[in-house]
Amino acid sequence: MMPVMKKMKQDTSEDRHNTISRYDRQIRIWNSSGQQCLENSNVLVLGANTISSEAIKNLVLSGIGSYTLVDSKIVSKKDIEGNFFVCNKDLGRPLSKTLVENLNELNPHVRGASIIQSVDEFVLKELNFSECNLVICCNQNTEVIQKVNAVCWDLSIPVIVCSANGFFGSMKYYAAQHCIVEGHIEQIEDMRIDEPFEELTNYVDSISLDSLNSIEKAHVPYVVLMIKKLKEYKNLEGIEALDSFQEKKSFKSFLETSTSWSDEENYLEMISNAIRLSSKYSIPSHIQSIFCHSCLSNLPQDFCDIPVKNLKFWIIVKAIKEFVSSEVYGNGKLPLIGTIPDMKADTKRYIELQEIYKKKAKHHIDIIYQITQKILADIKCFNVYFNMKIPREEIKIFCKNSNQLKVIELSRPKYTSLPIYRAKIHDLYCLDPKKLDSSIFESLNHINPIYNFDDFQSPEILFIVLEAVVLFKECIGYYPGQDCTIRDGFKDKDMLNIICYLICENWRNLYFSSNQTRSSNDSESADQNYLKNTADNFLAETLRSRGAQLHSIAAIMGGVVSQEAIKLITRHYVTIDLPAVFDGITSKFHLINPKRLNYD
Amino acid sequence: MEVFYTTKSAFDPDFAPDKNIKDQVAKTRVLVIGAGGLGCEILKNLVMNGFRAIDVIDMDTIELSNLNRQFLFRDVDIGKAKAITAAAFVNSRVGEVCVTPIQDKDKQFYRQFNLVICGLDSIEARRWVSGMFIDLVDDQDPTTMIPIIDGGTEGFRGQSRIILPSLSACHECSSGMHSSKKTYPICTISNTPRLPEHCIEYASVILWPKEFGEQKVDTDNIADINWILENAVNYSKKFGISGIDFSLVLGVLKNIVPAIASTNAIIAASCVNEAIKLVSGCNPFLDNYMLYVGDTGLYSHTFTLEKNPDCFVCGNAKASIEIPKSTKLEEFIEIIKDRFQLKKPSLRTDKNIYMQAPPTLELKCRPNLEKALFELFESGNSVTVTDSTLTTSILLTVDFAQVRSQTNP
Repeated sequence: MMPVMKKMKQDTSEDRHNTISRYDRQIRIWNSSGQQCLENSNVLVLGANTISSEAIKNLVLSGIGSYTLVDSKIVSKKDIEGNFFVCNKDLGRPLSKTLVENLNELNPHVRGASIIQSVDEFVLKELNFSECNLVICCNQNTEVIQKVNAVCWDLSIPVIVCSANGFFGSMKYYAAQHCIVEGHIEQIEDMRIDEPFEELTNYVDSISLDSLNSIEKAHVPYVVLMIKKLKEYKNLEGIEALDSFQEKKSFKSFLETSTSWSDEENYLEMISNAIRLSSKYSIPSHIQSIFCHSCLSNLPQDFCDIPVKNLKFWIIVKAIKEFVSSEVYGNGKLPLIGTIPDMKADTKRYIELQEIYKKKAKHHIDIIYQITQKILADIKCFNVYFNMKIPREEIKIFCKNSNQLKVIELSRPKYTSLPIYRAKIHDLYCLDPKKLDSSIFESLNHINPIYNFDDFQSPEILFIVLEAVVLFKECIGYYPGQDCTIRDGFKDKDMLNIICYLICENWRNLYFSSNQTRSSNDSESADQNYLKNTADNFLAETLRSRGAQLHSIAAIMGGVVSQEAIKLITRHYVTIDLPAVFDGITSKFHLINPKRLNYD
Repeated sequence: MEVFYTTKSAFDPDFAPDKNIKDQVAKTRVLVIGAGGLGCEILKNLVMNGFRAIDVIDMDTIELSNLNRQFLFRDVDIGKAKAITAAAFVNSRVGEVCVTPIQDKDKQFYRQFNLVICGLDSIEARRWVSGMFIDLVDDQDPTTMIPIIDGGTEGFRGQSRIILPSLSACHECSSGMHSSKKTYPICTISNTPRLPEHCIEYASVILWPKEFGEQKVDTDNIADINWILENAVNYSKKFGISGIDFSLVLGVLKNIVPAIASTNAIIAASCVNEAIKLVSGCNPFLDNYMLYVGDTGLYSHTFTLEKNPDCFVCGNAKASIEIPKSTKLEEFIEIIKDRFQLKKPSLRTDKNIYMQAPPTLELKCRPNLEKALFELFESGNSVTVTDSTLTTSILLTVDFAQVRSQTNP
């Protein structure tokens, strides 16, 4: 063929090439299904600032459907210094409007709008969030977050909350339930070597190794070899299955000693996979617990109790569960994944083997598809208007991931202590300055004047300090460190200390039951001096920043906010399930698990 | 930012607050290498943090597939030079000239910089940077040591690190940590193909040269990609292999690394965060490696990567390998290509084992490719490996591995 002839093909695929090209590098990560979810999404962002601009930038580039930015601020010199999406000529214009104009430029496919209204006012209105899939709150006070959550929690709309201070940032997310099918967790191959299904057994039996010459032998897929050998070994030892690691190790040494063609690649592959793949089949425990989830008992009659967006997930899980428990179908096993990794083999045998797995998996998909249709029909019996359709393609994706499904559930934020905090902080601040001295600590629950962090580890202290900064700002009106006047010896630092103390106490009450004393055998918590220092350093650094927002920290936080947003929207990959802090001094992210302290 | 320059740090008691630091930051000569996914973000972060004397270098032009993350570019910019377009955008947004696009210059040119920040996607480019700035170091003159901050991403994962050339670990000290292009042995793709990738590789490595000779596959030309697609599909049909499509062909031919806006934003900002701390001293900087993993939750790991004394860029350039003596030279070359991230290595002992150039010498050595290693040299011999991607050669000691002894049944 001459190069001239190649050119003739060009036009036919030009358009296709263009449509996939813009998002090509990310579709390779979250597939077209994830991209479709993004394109259908609508995100509400509360607060116009550098973190939110950076988060929106990443979301617009990724191709979300639309977004709305709410804020009433006017572009100031400070905004121009710290935010790339406003410049000198914008001075005095509405900030949210200006940002949206500049951010919309990044991608003609995304629709962005602004609402010029203060966030506090916006959340006071009758909130109608049902149109959006996600709410992002950047640098907002707890009152706003509380109001947003009160509405979003029941509508199952996730809320991401983020703030930054100096070199530190924190992020939290709230959602009752997030179900993930395509977690992209590294998958253990599903080859059923321990209990091969009938078609696989027949195939393995049809290959007689003795009749093969050495070259042919070297091209038999190791899966076939291992199935033969495992059967032989179990007969020899008179055992049903390999349970313990020791048993699997013995099997491996049996393989090493009982075969004559020793340095062929397929043989070596068998040996190196012997321990990993010879185990007795079992359903992973996290899948078993999903099978016990209360959502399943709501089907079919109480399907309305399941959040709409997760209904499909639970219907298919129920179908898979029925498949597993049926003696005719799964007989205690999940549907077959149906793919096999590459292995040393001749093309013919490899394709034959691949076809056997593929065909079996296809059969399983068909059965689960039928069970799913039956469940859908059952639901329809309870509600004639119910008309959900679940195409076979979705069942296929589900089956392929059936051993790595994930359900992330968080508990509803209560905010019971917030009014108490606010009242206490307010009282303290309005108190006659003369009375503001260290004796104030003693009046609070008769505790030693030094707030004690000794139950906590360093990232947790940072988290508490950052929470305290938000409360400080909310109750007192400025960031700690901004007012350097000393009121009779009582400084911002002391106030921040008290707030930290209140939060610590609340945490103790929440997570350590009263009759349980905390053990101090933890190596880190044992060193109280170290912790005192850590706490002092975090407090000092926070006071030093005086609420300054560093662009690079805002960009990092905007980055992780958009990352989690994309994971929530696409339902690909696994979102965080705990609050996170970023420490820009050590360059570390930490997840904060208060409950973890109970187990230490 | 200024507040941090004029107040004390609890984390670094040695920091001396000074109101002049702001000016020093503005005047710091920064070289940004790469104006792609990371580069665009790095430039933005630098100017928003007060850096005003930045040079940027990038030889690429803008493509449509860049626009999902390279936010300084628009649809109308497709085809333009990245460095020029990025610099122009940033300068117009800031309202002053902070960024200057440059072309590759001679070595002396690079002496003027105080800091280098890399946002690169290839090992060869990183290797070039390492080689260049380690070369510039004069042990007698500490000002010749120009710190490098390096960022890299792949999908939801990334890393940022600080390299003090000749003092701390360089890119090459850890070359084992880079993922490399997946290669498939010729015998697999021609005799026992199993995967769609094998068929694509066969079409591009075997069939294409047969048809077009010396002419290379142009991965930016849709006609070329389609030719490979068509031939790979035809080849795959013979074996009953399925699953080849346009996107996969493109991925295999271009060795596409998935890239998203959020990870680039996080890593680039982390690099510039370190730059501020390094230049101003207002807080301690990273020592020296941060690994970021965002695909399952949120995870980071920071550690000190030690200098490798046998590194072939900043160390003694020695390495050793253990390998069965029956390995064919052809396979051996594939193995070392993979291990040292080489392109077209030439090998010699006291005689030429395999030389890539000149063509006459290559032709003369070619029969060696089929030979087993033991026919070419002895166990324990040192082989000198040279490659276009290396600044110096590697002295590789080859030991023939014992064939695994059979234990008694």
